[in-house]
Amino acid sequence: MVSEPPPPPEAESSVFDARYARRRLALDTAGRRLLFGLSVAAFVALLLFGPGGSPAAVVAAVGVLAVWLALGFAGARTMRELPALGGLLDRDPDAGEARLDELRRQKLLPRWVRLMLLHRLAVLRHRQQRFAESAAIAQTVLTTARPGPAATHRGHLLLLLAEARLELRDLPGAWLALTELHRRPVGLHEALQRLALRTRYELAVGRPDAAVVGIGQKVALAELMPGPQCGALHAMLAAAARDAGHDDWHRALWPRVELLCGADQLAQMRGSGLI
Amino acid sequence: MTLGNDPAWTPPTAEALADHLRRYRATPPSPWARRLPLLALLGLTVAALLTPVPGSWLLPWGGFVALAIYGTRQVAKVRRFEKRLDRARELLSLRHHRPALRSAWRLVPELTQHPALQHRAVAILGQALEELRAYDAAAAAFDRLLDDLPDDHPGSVALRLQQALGALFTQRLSDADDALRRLRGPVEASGAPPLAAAYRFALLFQAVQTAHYAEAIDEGDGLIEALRPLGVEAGYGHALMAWCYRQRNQPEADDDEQAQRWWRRATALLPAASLRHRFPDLRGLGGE
Repeated sequence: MVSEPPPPPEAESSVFDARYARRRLALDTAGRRLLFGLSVAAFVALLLFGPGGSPAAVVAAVGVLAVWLALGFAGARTMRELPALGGLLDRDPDAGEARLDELRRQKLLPRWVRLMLLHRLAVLRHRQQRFAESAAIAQTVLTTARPGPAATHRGHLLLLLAEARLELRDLPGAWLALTELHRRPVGLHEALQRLALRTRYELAVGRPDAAVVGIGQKVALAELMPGPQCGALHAMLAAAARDAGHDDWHRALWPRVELLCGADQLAQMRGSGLI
Repeated sequence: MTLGNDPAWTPPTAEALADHLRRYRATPPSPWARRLPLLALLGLTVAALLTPVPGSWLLPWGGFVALAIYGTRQVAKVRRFEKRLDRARELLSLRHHRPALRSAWRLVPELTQHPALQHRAVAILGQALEELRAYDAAAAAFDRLLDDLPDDHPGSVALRLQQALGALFTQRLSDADDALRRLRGPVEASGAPPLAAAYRFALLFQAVQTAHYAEAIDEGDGLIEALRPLGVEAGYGHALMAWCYRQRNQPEADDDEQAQRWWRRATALLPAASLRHRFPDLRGLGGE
């Protein structure tokens, strides 16, 4: 489990309230458990007294069951909307955010569906470069017990958290997220992102020697990345090779860097001390 | 065509692929079929209400449990399909094109109840076939996707661009010209850098295929920046530019030196063998 790091020194103001989010999750769980308990009680009552008992009791029992089912279907409908919501957030972030707010306002959502909605919110805030907020949301989701099917996004959330903390210059926090990432199996896409973040971390803490370990394989993996990320990782590896005294690798990689990275991207990386 | 475990299997022909996709066309379950479990549950509840036997109340509860088990199994099945699709996509990214193709081919018949997942499998098929230079079969896969996707779908522009590239590779120059003209507006409107880069590459390749080398050189300003979103694959474009200089061959314009410069750029990004595999005409470049 990722432990809670101390707040970064220059964190931007965050509008995400982790305590409120946890309270909503607790209310959802309590409400759904109460309804489940009532459903079981209704079941037992109907078994004991049968439909020939009091009509009011029968109506109440059927009503409880109907509410339980309706909640299940509302949760399933929200779950089915999640992929479309991702597409909407890509195409039209404002409309996507409005729809996400609507979905989050629903009461008594299944715990994992609410966690999935929080995951979408973390991705949106990350794209908006509100890194303190995206880190706080990712931290909340990652430290929530019993995530259920939402656990499938754990790797992505850890990547997002590591990047947000690197952006916030919270290096111990980034290290914790990266350590957790290295403990779990990841797919190719996540492995590539993890490699980029790890290299960035190693440069940020002044360990270019660690960044150049297995540099040939790292370059081969960098080639699989889309353009800008491919260029950035090449630049970081070239800088690490230079700083670690591997001039042969630096000379081999730098012509690639000049082709893969624009002047703006290189200036930005120099400005942030990465290369 | 063989698509079994035999390592000697070959990519399907366009006809075989079209037949495969036609035979296993995905059809989403009708709204009534989707509501069937619920209707069954409702029926059991009504039956329990109308049957004055004490144990009859077990019926709706039994139905509810069965519905929960069915739903859980369905979700697990979809997850298994998604994992297999992710694996096929990874194989494609790692340039293991034949295993990716085989995996996607086998998934198509299993996904007839899941159109969105089948589209992903067909997209992998198309891209793997293109990498294996089976351009006609790749076009059949992209045709099928374009048939199923709405015109304004974000992926349809990329698919039509891939089809135009396939037409260029197979010397269907008129088709490619029509497609590229029609794509100019949508590509500009999309504002997506990778799409704009792929379009610029397609225009350069069109100039090469139609032997308009001088025009390609004249319009070559900013080519490095334009192709940058393609990552290392921009090397293919640099190699084509080297070919243009080699073919124009004006000594007073230092074309030979320019050809060497562009070839060095291309080989900085991709091995010469990969460049010559994709474009066999380039064998004359780089000292061969």
